[in-house]
Amino acid sequence: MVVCGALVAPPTSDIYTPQDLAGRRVGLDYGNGTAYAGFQMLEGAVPRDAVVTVPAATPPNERFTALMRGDFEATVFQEPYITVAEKAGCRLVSVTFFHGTWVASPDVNPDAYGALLRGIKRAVALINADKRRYMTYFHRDFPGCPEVQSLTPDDFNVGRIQLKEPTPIPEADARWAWEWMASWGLIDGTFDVTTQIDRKIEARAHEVAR
Amino acid sequence: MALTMAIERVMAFNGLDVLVAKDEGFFAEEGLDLTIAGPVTDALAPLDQRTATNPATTQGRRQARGEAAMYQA
Repeated sequence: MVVCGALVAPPTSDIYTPQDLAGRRVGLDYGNGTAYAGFQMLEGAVPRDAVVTVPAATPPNERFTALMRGDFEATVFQEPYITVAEKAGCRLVSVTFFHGTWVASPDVNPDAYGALLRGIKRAVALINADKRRYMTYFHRDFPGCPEVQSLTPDDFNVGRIQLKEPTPIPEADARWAWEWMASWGLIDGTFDVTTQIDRKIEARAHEVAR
Repeated sequence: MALTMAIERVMAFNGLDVLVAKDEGFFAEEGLDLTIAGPVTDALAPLDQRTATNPATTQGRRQARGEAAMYQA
């Protein structure tokens, strides 16, 4: 699945562009894809030494409360909290998309992995035929959050819900991601495709999934 | 014989396809008995002690314990 991440400022903010965030506190849930998307959106707009981040809670409902309380001047959300924030009058100042990546144990059964991929491919086709029908799935993840429960399928911008069939990760993409993380000091060592990707298992799984 | 697999929790934002496939019975039809684990409830480092280079995340914890074969990062 392709994940959408949006850099969001609260309604009363004077921030209108990602450039406006130079030297301003951005709350990130370090260690998650959302935070890495935040770094990438920020570094595309301001010099790295002007990127200022602070730790923010991983649950987006807690991060939303912190944003509205003024704990930081912007943060990054995925759905459904992008839609929640928009309904609350927040401003999207940058939007990006990134691949969710399946990480497998070394001893994963490639046939089970292939069956997983086959099921996912069928679901991708089903959802893409009528995305709005499946927006209620976002409700399930936040049963105690009225700001999510009050969303209707029509509230969502389905252009932010992007699904594609899973494919093997290209070595160049994996290398770029590793080297980008290393450039921020988020990971140690040099990229070695042979220790990161078992192409034999991956190839068998994707062959089964055809 | 059915294949079995457990994966870490997915949510709609990163696993809508998995959740729909499970509900529609696609995995069962493909011969896979898939278990989607619940959230990890381990205590994480306090918020003010987290940094970009010392983050706190539950991603991969069940896999590391041998409780799940795959997770979405």
